[in-house]
Amino acid sequence: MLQNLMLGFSALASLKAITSLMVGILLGYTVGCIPGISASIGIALLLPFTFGMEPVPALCMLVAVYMASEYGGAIPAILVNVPGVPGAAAAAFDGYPMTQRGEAGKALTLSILGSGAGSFLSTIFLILTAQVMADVALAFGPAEYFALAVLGLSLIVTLSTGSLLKAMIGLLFGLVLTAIGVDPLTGDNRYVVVRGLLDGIPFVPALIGLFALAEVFFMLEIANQPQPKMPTKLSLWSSLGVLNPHWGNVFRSSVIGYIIGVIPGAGAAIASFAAYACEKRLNKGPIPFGEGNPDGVVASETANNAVVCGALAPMLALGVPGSASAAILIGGLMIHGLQPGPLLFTNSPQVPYSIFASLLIGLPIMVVLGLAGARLWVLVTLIPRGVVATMVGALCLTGAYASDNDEFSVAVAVAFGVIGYLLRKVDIQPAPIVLALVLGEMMEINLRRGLISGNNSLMFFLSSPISGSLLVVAALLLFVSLFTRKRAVA
Amino acid sequence: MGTTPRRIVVAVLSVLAAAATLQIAAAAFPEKPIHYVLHVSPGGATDVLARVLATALEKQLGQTVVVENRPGGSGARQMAALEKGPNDGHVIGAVTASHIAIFQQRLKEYNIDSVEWVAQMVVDPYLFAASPNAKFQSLEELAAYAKANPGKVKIAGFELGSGGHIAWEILSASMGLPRDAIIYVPYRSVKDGIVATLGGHADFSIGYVDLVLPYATTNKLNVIGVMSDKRSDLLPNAPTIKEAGFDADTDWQQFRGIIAPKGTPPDRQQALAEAIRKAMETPEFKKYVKDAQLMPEFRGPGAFRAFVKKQDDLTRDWLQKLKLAK
Amino acid sequence: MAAQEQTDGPPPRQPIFREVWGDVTVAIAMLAVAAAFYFGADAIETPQATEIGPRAYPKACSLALAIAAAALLAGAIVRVTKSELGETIAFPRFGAVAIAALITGVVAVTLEDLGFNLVIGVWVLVMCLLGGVRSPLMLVALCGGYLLFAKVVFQLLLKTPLP
Repeated sequence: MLQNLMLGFSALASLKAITSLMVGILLGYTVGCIPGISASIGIALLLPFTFGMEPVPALCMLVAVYMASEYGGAIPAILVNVPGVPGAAAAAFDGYPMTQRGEAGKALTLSILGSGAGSFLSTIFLILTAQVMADVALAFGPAEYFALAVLGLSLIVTLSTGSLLKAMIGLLFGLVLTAIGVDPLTGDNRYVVVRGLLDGIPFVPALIGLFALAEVFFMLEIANQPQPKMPTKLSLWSSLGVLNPHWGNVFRSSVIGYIIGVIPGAGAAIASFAAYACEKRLNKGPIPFGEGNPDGVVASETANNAVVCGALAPMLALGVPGSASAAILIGGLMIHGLQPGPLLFTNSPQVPYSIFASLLIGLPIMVVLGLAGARLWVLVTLIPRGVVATMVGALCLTGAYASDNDEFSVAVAVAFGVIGYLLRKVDIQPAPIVLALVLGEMMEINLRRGLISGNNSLMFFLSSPISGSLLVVAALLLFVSLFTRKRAVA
Repeated sequence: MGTTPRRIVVAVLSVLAAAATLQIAAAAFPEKPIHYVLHVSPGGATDVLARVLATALEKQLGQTVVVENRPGGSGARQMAALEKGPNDGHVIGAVTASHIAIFQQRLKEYNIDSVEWVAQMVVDPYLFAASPNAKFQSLEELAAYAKANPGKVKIAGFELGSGGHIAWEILSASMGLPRDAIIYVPYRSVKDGIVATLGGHADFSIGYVDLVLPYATTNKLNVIGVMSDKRSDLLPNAPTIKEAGFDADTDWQQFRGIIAPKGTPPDRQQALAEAIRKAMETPEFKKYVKDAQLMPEFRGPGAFRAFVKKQDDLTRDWLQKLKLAK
Repeated sequence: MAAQEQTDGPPPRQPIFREVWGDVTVAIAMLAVAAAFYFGADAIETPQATEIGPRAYPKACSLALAIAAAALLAGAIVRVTKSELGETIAFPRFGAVAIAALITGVVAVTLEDLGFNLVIGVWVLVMCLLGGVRSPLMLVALCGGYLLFAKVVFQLLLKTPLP
C-alpha cells in the first residue's frame, strides 16, 4: 500500500498536477460560496473542462473542487446565515450567532481548521478502509435505507429549538412536499400541476429560498439599524490553536461524516446534521447549541468534509458512488477510459492512489488558502446590511437559475423564500423542512420497496441487524428526548 | 448565327448556376454551431458518449457542436428545448430507448412522431445477472426454482414499465412463469438494481454489458442470460437466452441515438446521419466504444424510425398487458 | 434564528400581530395544505391496483400534518380563551420587505423574457434603494459591479449560460 501511495505521489509530482490542484481548490471555494452551485453542480459544470486533460491532473482538479466547495459553503453560512451548499446548513446554526457576537474570525477559522482536520482524518480512513467500506455501502438495502431515513428524521427532536410541535409541523410539511413529482416506483405523476414539478420540487432552489432569500428579507428589516460590532481579529499564529479544545468533537464528527459518506444517497447535509445533533447531546459547555457554540461549527464542518472521502470509498473500490458528486466523478474517470470498480485497484492503481495523494497534498493548500481567506472574509461584516442583502439576494437568484438553467427554479426559490420568511415569523425554522426534503423520498421509496421485497410484512424492516439497530436508536432518541424535554419545561 | 454561342453560354451559365446553388446548399449546412441537447446531467454514460460524439462530429461537420445538458422532468426539458428548435438541422438531441416508455407513460403530449429519428449509434442488449449466492446459476435453474418456490425470488431492476422491466416480463413469459412467481423490485436506475444484487438484497438483476462487466469478471455477479442473438464479445461465457433454452424476442433492446426537432428537412437529417456514421468510424470514437464496452450499430433515418416504431408497438402491448398503461 | 431578536421601537405602519394569531394562521394554512394533498391524492392517475401505491404516502403524511396542525390550533384556542395572546410578532419595515418580495417574484417570471442584465440590474437597483443606499455613484457601482461579477463567474468561469 505504501508503495502504491508513493506511486500516487510520483504521479502527482508534476507542475501540471499541482497547478490543477490549486485551480481546483480556488474554483471549489468560489463554487461553494455561491448559494445554488452546490458541490455536485460545481463538479458537473467543470467536468467538461477536464476532458482534454490527462487523467491524473483531471481527477485531482475535480476532487479538489469537491473538497473545497464542501468547505466554501460554510463561509456565507457563518457570515450572513446563508449556507452556500446544503451541507453547510448546520454550520449557520452556531456560526451566524458567533458572527453576531463579533466572533466571525474565530468561527471562520474554526470552520476551515475543522474542515481540514475532517478531510485529513477521513483521507486516512479512506486509504486504510476503502475496500472494507465498499461492503458497508453494499449492506444498505431497502430495509437499511428506510431505517436510516427514520433515524435521520428523528434527529429533529435534537436539532429543533423551541416548540417541538412546530418542528414536527415543519417536518411534516416538508414530507408532504416530497410527494410532489413522478412516483419513484411506478412513474405516475403526483401533484404535477406545473411541468417543472415532474422531478419533484428542485432541492437546491428550495434550499436557497428557505435559508438564503428568507434571510435577505430579514436583513432588509434591519438594514437601517447600526452595524454589529467590529469583529475581533486573530493573529495567524493564535488562530491555529483555536481547534485545540475540540479534538474529541473533530474525531467523532469525522467518523460520522465518513460513514454517512460511504452510504450511497446519504450526503453532506445528513452527515452535518447528524454530527451536529451528536455534539449537541454531548454538550456540557456554557453556551447552548444554536446560540453560537463553537462546537456546532466544528461538528458540522468536520462532518461535511469527511463525507467527501467517505463517498470516494465505494466509488473507487466498487464503482458505486457514495454521493451525487462522486457519481459525476465517475463520469470524469469514464471519459478517460477508466472504469471505477473492483478492477481499478489492480489494473490502474496509480489512479486511486493519486487521488489519495492529491487529497493529502491538497489539504494543507486548502487550509492555508482558507485561513488567509478567513481574514479577508471577516470584512464582509463591515459592509452595510442593505448592500449585503442585495448582493446575497442577487447571487441567490443567479445561483438558482444556474443550478438548473431554468426560470422555474428561480420561481421555486422565491416561493420558498416567502414561505420561509413567514414560517420563521411564527417560529417554524427551516431546518426541519430541509431535513424532510432530504430524507422524505429515501423513506418513502425504501418503505415501499421493502414492502414489495418482504411480501408486505413490516417485520422485513426489523429482520436485518443494521436496520433493526438503526430503528431502535431512532426510537430511543425520540423517547429519551421527549422525556428530557418535558422535564426541562417543567 | 449567334444562337449557338448564346445557347452555349446560357447552357454553361445555367450549369454553373446549378452547380453554384448545389455548392451553396451543400456548404450552407451546417452554417453555424450545432446545439446537441441532452436529457441527462453531465457525468453519466449518455453524457460521456455525447461528448465523445460531439468532438468527433465537429471534425466531420466543420462546426462547433455545443453540448447542452437539460436534465429534469423525465426528459420534458429536453423535449421543450427541441420543440423550440429551430428545425433546420442545427439542433439535435440525444435519445435512448427510455424515451419511448416515457412518451407513453408520462409525457403523453408527445409520441414517437413528435421528433425526427436521425441516427442510431449503439445498442445495449439487456442481460440477467445473478448473485453468486443465489440458489440458481442458470436460467433453467431459475425457472425450476421459481416454480417450486413462488414469491421467494427477487429481481432488481429499473422502475415499473421501464425497458428493463419489460425485458424481464418478455423473458418471464417465455419461461412460462406465473406473474407472481418472482417479485420485481424497482430501483432508481438499472445500476442501483445491480448494486442491490451485489449487496444480496435481490437474487438477480437486469443489466447491461458495460454495467455488469467489472463485477462479472471478478465473480461478484454471474451473467445467466443475454437478450441478444449472439453472445457478447466481452462476456464470452454468458449464454444467450436462446442458448439457455428460452425463446424470447431479442428485438427488445436498449439503444442510444440522435433525434432532431419535428420537421427537420430530410436532406439535412441525411447529412447529419452521414456525418455521425463517419464520426463513428474515427479511431477516437472506436476507442471510446471499446473502452466503454458499447455495441455500435448504426441505423440511418429510415431504418431507425422503423426500429423505433417496432419498439413503440412492443412497449404499448406490454404496458397494457402489465396494466401499467393509462 | 437570530435576526428577529432586535426589533424594539416599531416603525409607525407596522401590522400588529400577536403570537397566538400567528399560530392560528399557520395551523389553518397547514390544515389547508394537508387537505389539498389528501384529497389531491385521489386525483393521482394510477393503473396500479397494489395496496401501497403512489397515493398511500401523501395521504399518510398529510393526515399526520393535519393532526399536528389541529393540535397547534387547539393549543392556540385554549390560550385565546385564557387571553394569553403572547408576544407581538413584529414585521419591521413591512413595506420594504413586501416590495422586495414582490420584485423578487417579478424576477422569477421575467428573467428569461427580458434578459438577465435588465432584470437583475433593476432588481439590484430597487433592493439597494430599499436597503438604504442613496448615493447615485454607489448605486451604479453596485449594479454594474454585480452584473460584471456574474458575467465573469457564471459565464466565463463556470460556463453556465445566463438568459
